[in-house]
Amino acid sequence: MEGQNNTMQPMDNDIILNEDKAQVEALFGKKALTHFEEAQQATSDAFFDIQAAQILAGLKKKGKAKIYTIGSFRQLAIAASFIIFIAATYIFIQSKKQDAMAKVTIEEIPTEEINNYLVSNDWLNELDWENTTLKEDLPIDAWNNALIKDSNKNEKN
Amino acid sequence: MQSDQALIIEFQASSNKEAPYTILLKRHQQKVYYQIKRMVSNHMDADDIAQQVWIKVWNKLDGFKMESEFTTWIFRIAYNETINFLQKQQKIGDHNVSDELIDYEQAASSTDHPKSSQIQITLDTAIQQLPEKQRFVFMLRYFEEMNYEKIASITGTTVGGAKANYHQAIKKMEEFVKHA
Repeated sequence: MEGQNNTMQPMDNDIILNEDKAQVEALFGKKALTHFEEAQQATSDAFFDIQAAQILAGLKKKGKAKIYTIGSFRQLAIAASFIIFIAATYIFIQSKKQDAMAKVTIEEIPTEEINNYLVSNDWLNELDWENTTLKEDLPIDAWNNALIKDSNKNEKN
Repeated sequence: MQSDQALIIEFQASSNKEAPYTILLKRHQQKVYYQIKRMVSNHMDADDIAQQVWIKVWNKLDGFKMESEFTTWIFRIAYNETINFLQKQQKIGDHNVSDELIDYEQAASSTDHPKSSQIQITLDTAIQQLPEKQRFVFMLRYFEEMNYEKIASITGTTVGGAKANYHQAIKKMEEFVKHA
């Protein structure tokens, strides 16, 4: 019985399909419908080979373009991170240098270097250090200006 | 001859996807093109849409779970692409039945067919005035001789819905012939 049902079902489907088709053929005639289908299938002999080749070529081109995009992006990313690394290292080294300069105290400067400085700036020796009024907490620039004023005063006198 | 299923497994498993894909393409490209051509009538448009369909197949075949036949799946992609194309054309006002008729007649005359008779023109116009879904169902049923289960899967409807679409299409064409 089961086997009979299995063979009956495709047959039933065929009957229904034929009935469905017959309804349309009654309206337009089988010839017109065949002609319609022939018109849809009217292509050149090589059309499907060309279409297949175009699709495959398009896919290959797309694949290559994708790889190129990823490659150039990676190159850019590597170049950018390299530049950032170099710039960061340079800034770090510069700031370290400035810190080191700022931390040098008078005790760390060799006596020879101080003597050389005084020889090349001998006007400093002529200053009347005892009469010069200086506030200890003056900034270095103001301190220099005060020294220069005093030096000018001495010259006038 | 390798089955569609075996080719899909090969495609999904191997790094050389082109070989199984090319066999699937060459095996089914005519049916896909003809179905699209019946819907849009214009050869160039049908070719463009068919190419889009096959590119989608390439992109999505890795995710195909084989819950339906490959032909059902590919006709569903073709259905979506064709409906999208026709709706876009309608939006830009490019869809014109008379243009399609000229195209149809040119195709017929270029292939040594006898000059289109009045009944052929009526048939073509009757088909073109059908709503897109009914037209697609009619083509699958009459020309591809598909069963309603498969048509329902392709068009995303129920079996009853697919049957109703086909019979509504016949009814509309019948009325068109009466008033022609």
